[in-house]
Amino acid sequence: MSGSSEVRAGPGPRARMLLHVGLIAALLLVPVLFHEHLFLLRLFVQMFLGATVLMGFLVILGFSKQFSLAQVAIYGIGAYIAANLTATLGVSFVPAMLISGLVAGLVGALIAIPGARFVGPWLALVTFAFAEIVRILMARLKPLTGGAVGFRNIPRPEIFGYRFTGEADYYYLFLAMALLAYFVTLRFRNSPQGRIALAIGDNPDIAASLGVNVFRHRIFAFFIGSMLAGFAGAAFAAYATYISPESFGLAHTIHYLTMLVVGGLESIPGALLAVIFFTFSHNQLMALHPWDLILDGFIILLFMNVMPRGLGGLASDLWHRRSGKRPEIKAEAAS
Amino acid sequence: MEFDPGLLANQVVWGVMVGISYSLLAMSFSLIFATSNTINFAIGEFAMLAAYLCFTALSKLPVGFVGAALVSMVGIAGFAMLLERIAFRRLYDLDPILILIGTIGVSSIVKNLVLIIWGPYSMSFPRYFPVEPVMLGPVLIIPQNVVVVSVGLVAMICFHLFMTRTRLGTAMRATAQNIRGATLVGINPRLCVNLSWGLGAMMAGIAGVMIAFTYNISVDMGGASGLKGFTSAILGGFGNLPASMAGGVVLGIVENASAEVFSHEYKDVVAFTVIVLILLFKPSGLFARSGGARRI
Repeated sequence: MSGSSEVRAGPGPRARMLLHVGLIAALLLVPVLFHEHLFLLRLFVQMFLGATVLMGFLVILGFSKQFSLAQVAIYGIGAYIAANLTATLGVSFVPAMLISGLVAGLVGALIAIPGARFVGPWLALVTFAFAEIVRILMARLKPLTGGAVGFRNIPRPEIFGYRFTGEADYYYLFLAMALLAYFVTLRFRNSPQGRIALAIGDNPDIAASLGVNVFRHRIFAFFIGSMLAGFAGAAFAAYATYISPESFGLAHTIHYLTMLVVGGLESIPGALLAVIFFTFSHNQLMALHPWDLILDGFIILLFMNVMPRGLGGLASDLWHRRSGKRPEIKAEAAS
Repeated sequence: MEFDPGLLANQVVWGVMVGISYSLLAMSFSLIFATSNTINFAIGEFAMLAAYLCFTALSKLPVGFVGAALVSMVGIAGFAMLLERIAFRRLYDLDPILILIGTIGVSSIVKNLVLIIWGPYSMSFPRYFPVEPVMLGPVLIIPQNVVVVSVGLVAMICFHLFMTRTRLGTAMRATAQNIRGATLVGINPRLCVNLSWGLGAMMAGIAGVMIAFTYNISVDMGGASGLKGFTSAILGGFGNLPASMAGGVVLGIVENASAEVFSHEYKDVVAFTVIVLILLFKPSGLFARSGGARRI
């Protein structure tokens, strides 16, 4: 395969372990220390939600280089499935979330099938078209979705008899989900599956000539990424108790794309940094509505031109400069 | 629902008309894709911006219809060329996904700036030609639409002649086929790519003004029409200009006929389903030979 596509950067395994444990401990303490600052907890919940969707997006778009524009639509499908299961059919929260994730994953795998046969940009069209169809159906299929006004009165989660009441409950739920998404993505990135996905992303022809089943791996990556989006959707439905097509429109796709570009398309830490930054900034900019999308556009163009590998690439360059190791140069495809 | 052949015939005529504007958008996609390998998601927004420029020129400048159309064409072409020069020229060697996201960023900027400048309400163009329908047998013809369609057809023919009969057009086709080869015979590929963005935006702009005349203009027209143009380009065969043209007309007819057979609400769903089906079963397009070299 054409060499590892991203330079292995950053601290060694032991330091990583410490960093993980420290961060998780700090995050666990946040609601204990700040239980009166509802605004802060809400921001964290949004951040965890964004991180979950973005990790899924990273697996699909960043690692296996399948240009999906359907991530937000799939996230929406997860939300509507969970809403129907819990509100209409009376399924309890945990199984509803699992089913939503699985179905979302399968839907993702299904739309990956036409795309996986062709090169990059075509998939963008299929998925864009799919996202539009989903959006139209969300507004039209009234019995299942509540139509354009949305789906109301989604019950709050109840896990093993424990009823969710305050913001802190949701905080822990979303934290757990974001951690799951993070470790799934990390595991995927470092597993043979993930390395093959990266190799396919670099050059599908070389990967195929080495005997890799490109088709199957692409669909698997799509399944994982979509499943994470489905979980996020289910959790969002239970958190907001009200969902409408508004929440799953193109504007959200653009927000996530901006985060991916800023983080760097292949970097997990970069994506996390971008989520933190944009959750806070979007919260401030929401009042200026169309300007936030304009700003997103300019940020995308700026990063593409100035820092095409994003914050992740920058961090890895800095690390190599500090530790005196020269980064391995990515092989340029001669075309 | 009762089946009415006259009504269907009307939908077909209407479909051809809408299809011409889709064809122009498809040609714009194909041209920019062929020279710079960029799938440009901002084409629909180029069309919308041109329509708004034309609208403002009509109402603010004492230039008449032809003058306003010229102003908006020059404006949109200049905008696209500037954009290519500033934001995209350095990116062609990078990941194509990044470029695609870049064009989505551009479309977001353009769309929301238009929203801020011109407001969210849809507006209709002043009438320049008679709009009272004329009956030709069972088919209903609106004279204004005949004018619009002729303008679109003339634009397409001019474009085709430019690409095949002039030195500059030939140079652009050469750049599209093989940048290195084109450079070797003394063509400046950067200039050609830049020009192709301008020319592509101009085609999209003509389509935008056509759509604006037949329906009206709104901020949302960009997304939908851009996607229709895309679908037409794929339907015909990407990067192949005559085929993209045919694709546009086919999509226009299918879409309007299906609106008659099913329901108007699901018109867009039909268009998008067509994309998925075509990509599944005939990814090279309906009218292009599969596996052939990319030609424009």
